Parts: sequence; structure tokens; C-alpha cells
Amino acid sequence: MWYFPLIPRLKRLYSSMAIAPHMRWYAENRRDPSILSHPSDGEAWKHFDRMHPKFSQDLGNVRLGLCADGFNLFGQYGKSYSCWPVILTPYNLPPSMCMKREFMFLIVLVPGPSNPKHKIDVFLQLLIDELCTLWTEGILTYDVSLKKNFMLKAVLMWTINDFPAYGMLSGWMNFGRLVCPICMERTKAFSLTHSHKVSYFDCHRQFLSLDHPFRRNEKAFFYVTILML
Amino acid sequence: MYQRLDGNKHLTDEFRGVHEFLQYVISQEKFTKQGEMLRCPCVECNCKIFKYMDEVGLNIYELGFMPSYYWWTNHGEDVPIFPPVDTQGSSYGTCEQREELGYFQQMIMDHVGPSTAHYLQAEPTIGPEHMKENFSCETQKFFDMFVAVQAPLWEGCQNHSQLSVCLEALSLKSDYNVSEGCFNRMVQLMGETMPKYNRMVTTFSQAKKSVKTLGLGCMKIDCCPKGCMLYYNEIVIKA
Repeated sequence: MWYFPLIPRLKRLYSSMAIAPHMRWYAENRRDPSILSHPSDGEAWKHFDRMHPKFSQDLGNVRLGLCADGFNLFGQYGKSYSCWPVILTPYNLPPSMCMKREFMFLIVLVPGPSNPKHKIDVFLQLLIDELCTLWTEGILTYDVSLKKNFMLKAVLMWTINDFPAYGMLSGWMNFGRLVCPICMERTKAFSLTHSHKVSYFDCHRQFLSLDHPFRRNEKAFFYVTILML
Repeated sequence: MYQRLDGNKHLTDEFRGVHEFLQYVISQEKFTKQGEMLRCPCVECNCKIFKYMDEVGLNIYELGFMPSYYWWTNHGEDVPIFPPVDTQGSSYGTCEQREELGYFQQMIMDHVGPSTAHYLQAEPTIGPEHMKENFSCETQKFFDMFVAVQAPLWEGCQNHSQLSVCLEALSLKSDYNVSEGCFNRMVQLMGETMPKYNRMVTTFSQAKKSVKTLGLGCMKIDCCPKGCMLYYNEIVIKA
């Protein structure tokens, strides 16, 4: 396994004059609130700020996004080989820099002919250790643009992946009856008696407003079932 | 308490730490205002529950002090101000791109940070032979690197140094998927076309070695082929 330590990379961002002033771009640049131009305009980001006001006070703190997916190095030979790169991106930078190749840090490279499946946790433990220190204690970092030392903290905001990879990273199963990661064990899905296929019939009425006529409809959904909760 | 005392967790040290902690709390104004109660910093309470002095002492002895609570901010202590870095007189103080330095030199300056770069700006032509003896190992490395940047590839070469050529060649290798054998042959050919006594690297491993000091390295960690565990930290030491 290859591991590329995260902390020196974050420190390097702050030690370069070309990058360090942009690390507070998301907060210092006022943008048109009606246009979403950066993840910081999104509801998830604002919700995080409300939940952790202490963290969001220091504008130098880094927000990270994690991206993982398997890919086949030797696809053209018809072999199946699954190599898992895990990529972290700092979201502090302006959108023009954020998604450039030099700011996507390849952190973990899991080799191996087979898919790691749920054992990907084993390969991520070094990254998680580093993220834990970055979240709880922080790292003393020198900021070139402000000319002072500060405690650099970082948070992993979200992960970007497809549904099978989501199952691996979150640990929730992504097949069978309990597949929905929102409902989890409260799911109303059931498997059909003969074909054993999972059916999601009548799972969506619960999300309607309480006075919606569908909730009182006895004929169109499960027979004689009124959903009042 | 833990590292605050002397790093090793001897029982006696820890006890003295607890005593010091309680003494410190008593000396604060806040303590009397709170009705002689204080937030319990044991592992279970995590500074959320108010308790009396002797209860807190007992809890800390039995359960242990809560982790990463180095500055007793909940008990009246201020977070220490981080040591300011002296940037007067260096380019770090002026907040500008250092145009007098080349692109690669800037890269190295970014790597070592202001404390060492300061020396360099005072005396740009400094070499390891002029160095003071009390420089740390890291600084020594940095000077070696800086010599590699400053030294021309051959006598009279204007636009390239050893490090810059290595970096360019390695980036070409990774961009165009050049094989290692091809890389070696190309580098050797480049070296042969240059005048004698050049500093051109001859192999891929040499090139990697000369770039290694720039930092941002990678760790190769052995792991179980089935993905059960990684061999690192204590596990490696035991084996």
C-alpha cells in the first residue's frame, strides 16, 4: 500500500505565496447569493458552520472532500484488476483552482488484484489517524500570507463516490432489503413471496405532507392502509 | 499531567500533576465564584460536570485525565500565543513573490519555511563551508539542496541546474509513461551530449534520490495480501 501523508501537504499549501492567500477565498469573496458557485454556498456547508461555530471562526481551517473509486489498470487485456486510489481535495480554494490536478491530493493507493470490499477500512486507518489529530488538536502551521503561526485544523466534509463504494466507506450494506442509507433499519421495503425480489412499493407515502390526500387513499396503495405518521 | 510534565507516564509524576492542577484551580478567582466547584476534567466527565474538589481529585486518580486537554481553558488558563516568527528583513516580511529567486529556489524556500530561509536571504551565496557548526541536520540537508539548485549543470550553463533537470525529466517520465529503461538511456544520452564534468544524473534512482529532499514523500506500507491488516507502527517494531 502507498500512503502519502496529508499533514505536510496541507502545511505546504500555507507555505507557498502563490496558494496561501487563496486558502481563505471562500469566506472573503462575497458572491451573489442567488448563484451557487462554490461548495460554501451550499446548505451542507452552512449547516456545518452552524453546528461547529468554533471551527468555522478560523477561516484558515481546511475543509476536505474525499473521493474514492476502484479502477482497472489493465483494462485493455480483459483482466479484472481493481486498484483503489483515495483522493482528497481542499475546498477552501476558489473554484478555478479547487479542481485542478495539483490540488487533488492522492492520499492512499490501495493496490491488489481484488477489490478490498469492506476491508478498505484497514487501508484508511492512517488517513483517519491524521484526520483525527487535525480535527481535535490541530497542527501548528506557518501562514505566509498573514505572516503568523496558527493552529491548522481540518474537517472531512463529505465523500464523493458511486453507490458500491458508498457501501464500502460507510459500512452500510448496499444490497438486499436494508439497502436505503436514509431509512436504514426503519425501511418499509419487503421481498416478494415467490421471486424474493426486493420491492419498494408504498415506501414513499411517508414523505408526503400530513394532509395530503394520498395518505388517506385506501385503494391505490396497500389495501386498506392509511398512513397517518 | 501527561506530556505537560515530562513525557513519561510515571505514577508519581502523574500524581504530582494532579496536585498541581488542583492547586492552580484553587488559585483562580473563577473557583470561588462557582461556589467552590469546578469542572471535572476526568475521562468520563470531559469538563462537562461540576464537582467538588475532593471528588474531582478522586476521579482523576481513578479514571485518568481527559485526553488532549493541554491548556486548562475551562479552569481559567489562557491558550498560549503561538511563538511569532521573525520575518523582518526577509522576503517573508514583504509578502511578495520573490522574483529575484528562481522558480526552483522558491520551491525550496517554501519547503523549509521562514526560519531557515532567513539565513539564506541574509547571505545568498552561502555554502556549507561557511556554515556555522550548530546548524541542525535538517538545515544541513537544506543547504545541500540549495547547492544543488544553484550549481549549474555544467560550467557556463545558464538556464538549468541539477535539480531542475531532474524534476523536468521525472515529470516527463510520468506524463508520457516512459519506462525506466528508456528514462535511463535518455538521461545518459543527455549527459553524453553535455560538456565534461557535468552534474547530470545517470539513472532513474539517482534522479529520485536528488529530488527526495524536497519533502512530500510517500510511505510504502506492507500489508496483508488479503487486506486484513497493515504492518506499521508498533507491529513493525515487534517484528
